[in-house]
Amino acid sequence: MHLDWTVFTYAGLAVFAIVGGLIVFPLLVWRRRGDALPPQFRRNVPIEIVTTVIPLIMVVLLFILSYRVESAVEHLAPVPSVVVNVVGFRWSWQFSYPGTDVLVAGTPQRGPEMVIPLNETTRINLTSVDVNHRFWVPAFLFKRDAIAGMNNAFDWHPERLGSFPGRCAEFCGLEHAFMTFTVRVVSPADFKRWLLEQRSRSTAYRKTPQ
Amino acid sequence: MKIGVRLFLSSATFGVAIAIAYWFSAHEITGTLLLGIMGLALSFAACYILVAEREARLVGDRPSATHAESAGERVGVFTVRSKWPFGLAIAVALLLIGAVFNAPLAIGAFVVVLTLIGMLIRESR
Amino acid sequence: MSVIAAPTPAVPSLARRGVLSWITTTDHKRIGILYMTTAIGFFFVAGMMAMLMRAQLAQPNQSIITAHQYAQLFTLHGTVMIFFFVVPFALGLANFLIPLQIGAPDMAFPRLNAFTYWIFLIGALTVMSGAAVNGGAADTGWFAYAPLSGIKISSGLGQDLWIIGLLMASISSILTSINFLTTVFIYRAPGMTMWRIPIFTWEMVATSLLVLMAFPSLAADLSMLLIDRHLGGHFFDPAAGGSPVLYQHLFWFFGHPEVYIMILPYFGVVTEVICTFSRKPVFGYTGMVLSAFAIAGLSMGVWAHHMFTTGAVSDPFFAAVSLLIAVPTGIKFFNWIGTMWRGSITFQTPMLFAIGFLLNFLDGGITGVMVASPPIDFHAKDSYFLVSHFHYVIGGGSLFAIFAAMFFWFPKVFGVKLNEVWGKVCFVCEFVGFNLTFFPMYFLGVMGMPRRVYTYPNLPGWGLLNSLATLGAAIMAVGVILFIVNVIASVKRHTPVPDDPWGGFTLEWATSSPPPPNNFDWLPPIRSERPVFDLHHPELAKTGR
Repeated sequence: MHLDWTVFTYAGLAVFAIVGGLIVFPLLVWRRRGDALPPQFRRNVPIEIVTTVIPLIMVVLLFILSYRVESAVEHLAPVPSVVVNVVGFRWSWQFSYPGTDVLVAGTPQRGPEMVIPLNETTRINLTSVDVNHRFWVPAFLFKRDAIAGMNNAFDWHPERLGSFPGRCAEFCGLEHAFMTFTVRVVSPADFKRWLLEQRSRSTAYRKTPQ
Repeated sequence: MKIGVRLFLSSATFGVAIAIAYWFSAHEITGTLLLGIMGLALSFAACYILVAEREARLVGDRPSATHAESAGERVGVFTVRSKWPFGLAIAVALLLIGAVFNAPLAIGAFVVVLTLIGMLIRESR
Repeated sequence: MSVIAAPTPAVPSLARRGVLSWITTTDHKRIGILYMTTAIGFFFVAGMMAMLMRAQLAQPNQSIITAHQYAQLFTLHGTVMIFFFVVPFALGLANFLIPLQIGAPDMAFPRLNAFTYWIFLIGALTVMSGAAVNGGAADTGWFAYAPLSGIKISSGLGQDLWIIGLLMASISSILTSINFLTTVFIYRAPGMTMWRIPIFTWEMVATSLLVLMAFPSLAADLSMLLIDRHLGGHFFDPAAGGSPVLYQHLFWFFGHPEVYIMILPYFGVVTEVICTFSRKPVFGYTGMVLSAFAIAGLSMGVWAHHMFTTGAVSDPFFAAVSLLIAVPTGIKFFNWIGTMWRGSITFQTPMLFAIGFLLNFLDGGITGVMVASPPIDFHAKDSYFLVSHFHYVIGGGSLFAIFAAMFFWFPKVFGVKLNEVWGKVCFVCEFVGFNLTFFPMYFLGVMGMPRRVYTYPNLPGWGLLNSLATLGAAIMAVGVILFIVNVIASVKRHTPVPDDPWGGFTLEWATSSPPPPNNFDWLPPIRSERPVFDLHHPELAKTGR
């Protein structure tokens, strides 16, 4: 992901510098001096061909990069270590870990926290029970739609420990701005401990943990 | 071939071509239908111009035409003033509003719309 | 000297002055003026909405306005700016210019033309009347995704009024484009072959074709939404076999071409301005025409790049076509550069705005290429990065071209020249203000600020960047006020304007400012795409195509 951003950003800056420079250059060099008409040329076929072919090549290369990065990002592991079912609703999120009875639901005042293990593959199954929401963790450079009637599945393979804020990124009503959550990446041992802790709070439905 | 035909026909061909490309790469029915139907609609326009304007020889299409050649030509009927467009706009608006909120209003507005279109046709005779 | 056969209108029994003459007019010039002034009026309204939003967002955790008010503001701001300002201004400008540029006495269907204006006006008022009804105006965003816009969640009248108003706007645009196409196909003056029409008119042909292809999809989508809302339909209800994704497909099949409808006319404006103030013909006329149609065609095939994160579309197909659109757009840029190259450039206000357009649109275009890459879109979508991207292309692009068009053609339309000094000050305010408003938003988006939030937490840098954006918006507002003052003062001063105050190339500069009712008392011979230039420089007159 970072590769994609880096390449595109640098390419973008380079294009802006070059084309911007080409725009500004005539303004500095060929200002009107006197009444004589400038040369009235209309065509230059070699230049027109070059300015078509070079962008075309750049675009093809950028597409190949995008395609490869996206394929990697969207790859679904055959057997994920952890599965979390995420349900978006007005106006918070519910995380459940199938196979256990661990369920975490939030409110706009207190967003829920999802705990997942480091260096392992977590499968997220995402859906909504009402309007469209969008599940976004900026630190992971990733978001996906939560749409009623659809299940969106994707994998995370976190390589950093920490607590990462998440937000809803599809306007869903008056409390959309407060539909936040957190993803906490912990070591696999800590994750097992956390799971046990959650289960031992034996009620099936819980509000956010302390 | 007239510019109208060329424009619509090339757009129609493009629409159909991209619909086919889309189907074979994405296998998604909604987009395929949207693009394909767009292509068909454009070809309809192309055929209409082809048939209806077959006899027309436009002075604007000849690069060496002079103004003197077309002097005295009856270019068309250009109405200068008309009260019906404003009225028709109000009637169409009432028709749409009635269609959602108040069926009798819609029916009444529909009758007015037809009447006004009749007035417009009469005006251009 | 040759004289065209212009039909002399019969002396009307109704007055040429007064409100009634404007209500019953079918003169394309008057209808163009109506469209453009109405559009500018809506620009002020939507601009004030923006100022309110920026005031609310200037600092974290503010409650100057409520979440509900904010939702109505961003919905109406987007809807009004897109449907009732940027597009109608272009259609109005085209209405005024196309017959003049091709040497025709009026549009092909003058009364239809009038109808399209009035239905557009009523549609706009209908959308905005939502603010006065119980429950307020539509508040589901300018795309009004189902199920949010469905009857269960948005049961208010405001949403229905929004839908109806947009249906009226659709009717208006579709009929206008039919009028434009017919006029250009049939009413060109002798010698005005298609390859000699001005680039602005070509861009309007491409735009009209796009309108015909795109708006029906919007009308269908909105009608389906109405059926779901009031007639027990379930098009978008997954519980009954429908799909919210269907709404998005139909919406964006319209929505993406819509943004090209919003920019192609302004590519034309910028071309005319750059040619005139560089004193050179357009570089690569054929390339400009072909790229316009390439852009129009490709734009019909990219709609689901607005749906990359739905998981319901083929991202690679749409990424490929979206990236491809950069190529014809790039061709246009190089042609504009080629026009200025070795030219004789002067910096009157229209040219300044055109240059601002080039730099801003370059920026927006580059970030557009970035979000065309799905992995980037996965982070940037619906964040302030995206907000910045589209404001750069519509605000930095279309809006700047609108200013350029106003300063350039105001003398022709009204016979009044706008003050140059205040025009330049206005440009500086707009250019500085615009970039100050939107450049920080790129960073806000990357840092994680989503769009359509009425407030945000006090995270590092968020408050500062938002304050900068609000400051920029204030500067832009100052520029707009200066523009209004300029117009009023210039109209009051009213020094007469010659036929051709700028040294223009195309036919509209061959007639008086403003033109007579029948447009031309006399037409020069048309042997190239620059008949007025050829008239003034017969030794250089190009013969041939």
